[in-house]
Amino acid sequence: MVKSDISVIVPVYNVEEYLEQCLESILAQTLQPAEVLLINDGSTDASREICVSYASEYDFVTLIDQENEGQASARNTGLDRASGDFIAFVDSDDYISGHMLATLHIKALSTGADMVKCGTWYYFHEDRIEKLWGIEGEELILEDKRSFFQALLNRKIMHSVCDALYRKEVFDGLRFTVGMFQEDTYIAPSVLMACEKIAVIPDGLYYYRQREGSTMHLFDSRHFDVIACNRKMKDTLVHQDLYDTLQNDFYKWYGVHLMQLVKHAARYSSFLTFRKHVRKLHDMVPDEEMDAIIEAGYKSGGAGHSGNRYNETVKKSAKVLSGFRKNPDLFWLKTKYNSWKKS
Amino acid sequence: MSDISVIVPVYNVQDFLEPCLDSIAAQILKPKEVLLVNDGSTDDSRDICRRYSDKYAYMRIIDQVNRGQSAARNTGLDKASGDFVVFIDSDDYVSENMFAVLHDKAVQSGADIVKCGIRFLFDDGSMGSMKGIDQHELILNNREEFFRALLENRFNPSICNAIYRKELFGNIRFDVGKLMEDSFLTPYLLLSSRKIITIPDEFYFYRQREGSTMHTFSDRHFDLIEFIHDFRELLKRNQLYETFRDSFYTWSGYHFMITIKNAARHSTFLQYIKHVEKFHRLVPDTELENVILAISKAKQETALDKNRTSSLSKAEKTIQTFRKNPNLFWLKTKINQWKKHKKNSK
Repeated sequence: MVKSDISVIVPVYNVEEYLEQCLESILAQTLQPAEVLLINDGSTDASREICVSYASEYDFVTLIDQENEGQASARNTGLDRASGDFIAFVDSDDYISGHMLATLHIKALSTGADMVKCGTWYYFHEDRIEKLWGIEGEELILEDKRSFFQALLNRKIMHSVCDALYRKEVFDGLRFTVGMFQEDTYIAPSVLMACEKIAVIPDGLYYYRQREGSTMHLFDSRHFDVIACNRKMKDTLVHQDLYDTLQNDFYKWYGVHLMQLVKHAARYSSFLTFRKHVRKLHDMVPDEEMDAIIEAGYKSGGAGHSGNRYNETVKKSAKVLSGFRKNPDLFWLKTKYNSWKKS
Repeated sequence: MSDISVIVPVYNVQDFLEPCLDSIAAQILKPKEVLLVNDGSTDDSRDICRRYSDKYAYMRIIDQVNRGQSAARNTGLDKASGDFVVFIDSDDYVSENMFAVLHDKAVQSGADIVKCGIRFLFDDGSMGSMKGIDQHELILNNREEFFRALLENRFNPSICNAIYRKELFGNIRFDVGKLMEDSFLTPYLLLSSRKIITIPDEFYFYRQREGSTMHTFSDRHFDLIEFIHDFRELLKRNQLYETFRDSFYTWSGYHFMITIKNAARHSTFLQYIKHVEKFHRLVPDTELENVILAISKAKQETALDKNRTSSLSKAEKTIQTFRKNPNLFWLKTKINQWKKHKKNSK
C-alpha cells in the first residue's frame, strides 16, 4: 500500500449502523490516504465509540469532536484541519470503491486537473444497487468555465461533493454555507469557479446509500433552499457572462430540481400543508419563470435526443411541472395515489 | 471589481471571523474594498484580519481603540470610497450571491436601498426566519410607502441585510453607545431615500449567540423605548404621524412586548420590579391603552391574514396581561421559560 497526499474528510453524525462499512472502504484503498479526518458532529449513538476505536488503531485516522452543527459545518471543520494536497469527502453512511482514491489521484496528476469527478451508484441494499448519472459515457477534460457549467447543467457531472477528488487550493477561501439546507448544490457553482481544469471519468466509484427516514424522506420548508441554490447558479452565470448562452441549460437544470421539490412536497405533506407549500413556491418562482422552465423542458426532449436519460428526465420535469401548475390540488391527489399504489 | 465598499466592524470574534471573511472573499461580484475596522480586539481577531488583508488586496485593516460597534461602523463610513456600502457584522456571514443580486437591482432600478431577508442561526444549529416578512419583492417609491412597510414589519429593519448608495448617509452616522443601534438608523435612511426595494431571499446569516446582548437585560435595553419616542418625533416633523398613528402604535406594541418579555425572562424578581418601574416612567398607561386599541383595530383590518392576526393577538394578550398584573406576568413568563427549557432538554 502506498501512502499519498490525500486528506479524506468524513462528517459523522448518528450513523452507527453504517460507519464501519464506510471506514473499512476507506482503509481498504489501494492508495492509502495521508489522513482520514473523522468529524464527529455531536453524535448521540455509538458512532463516536466506533470512531475512537479506528482512531486508536490507525495512526493516520484522527477524530475531531464538535457540538452538533450540521454536515456543512463538520465538513468545514475538516477543511480547516486538512493538511493534504488533495481533498476527498466521504459521507459516513456511504462507502467507496477500493480503487476510488487511486483512480482519481492518478487522473489528477496526469491531467493537472483541480477536480476529478467520477460516477455514483445508488445503494439501496446488497441486492439493489442502481445507476445514478455519469456511470456510462466518456472521459472528459474540461478547460474553461463555459464547459464546466455546461457539463454541470447537463448532468455530465453531478453537483455532489463526494464523487470527486480536489486539489486543496479549490477550497482556499471557500467553505460550505452553514444554514443552507442543500449545501452541496449551493456550493457547486463556487467550486466550478475555483477550478481551472476538471477531469471526469465515467467509472462509478462512489456508493450513495438511500435510507428511509433520512432527511430526504420528510418535507419541510428547508427544502425550498433548492430554489436559493438555483438562484445562486443563475447569478454566477450572469456574472460570468454565460447566462445568455446557457440559459436554456439552466432552465432544464432548474426544472428538474423544481420537479423533485413539488413531487417531494406532495408525497410527504398533508393536503393543507401542501397548499401552504404551493403558495410559498408561487411566491418564490414567478409565473413567467415557471413558464420559461416548462417550455425549455419540453423543447429539450426533441428528435435526435431520445435515449439520453437526462433529456428524458428533463422532458418529464416539464410534464410534471405543467400538470402541477394547472391544478396543484389534483397534482397532490395523483402523487399520493401513485405513492400509495407503489407501496 | 465593483463600486461596493464593505464595512466590517471587528471586535473579539476570533471564532467566527474566518467564515465571515471567506463569505466575502467568495462573492460572485467582488467588492471594491473591504474595510476591516478593528475596534481594539484583544483576541486573535487582528491576526486573522491581517492574514486576509495580506491575501486579498482589496481588504484593508483600520485600527482604532475600542469604542463600540457604532463607532467602528462610522469609521468605516468615513473611509469608504465606493458608491455603494454594505455592512456585515464580523460574527455573521452572507450568501455568495448577495452583493451581485443587491447591486444589480440597485443599479437597474436606481433604488437607493435594496434589502434582502435574514436567516437566523441558533447555537443548537437550528435556523429561523423573521415572521410576517413579505415574501414578494416590494418596490417602494415614496416616504409613505417606506414607512408603511417599516411599521407593518414587511421587511427586516436591521442595517446589515442591505446595500445602500453611499450618498444616502450624508451626515447620518450611527449613534455611539446605543444598544440595538443598527435598526435605529433605518428611519433616518428612509427619509433620505427616493426608492427602496426589498426582496425575500435570505442572503444574510445572522448568528444568535447566547450571552450576547440579545440574551440579557439591563437598563440599556430601555434605549429601545427612547428610540420609539425619537421615531414618533421624526414622523411628526415630517408630517407623517397622522397618517401612521395606528400603525405606529401597533408597531410600538411589538417592541413593548419584546422589552417586557425580555425583562421578565432575564431578570430576578427584584431586578424585574425595578425595570417595571422604569418602564412605567417611560411609557404612561395611556400609551399602553392606545397600543391595545390600535392592535385590536389592526386585527379587524387584517382578519383575512391569519399569520398577521395571530401575531397581533399574541402582542395584545401579552401587553394586557402585563398591564393587569406585572408581577403575575413575571411569574407566567418564568414558568413558560422553564417548561420550554424542560421540553428542549428532553
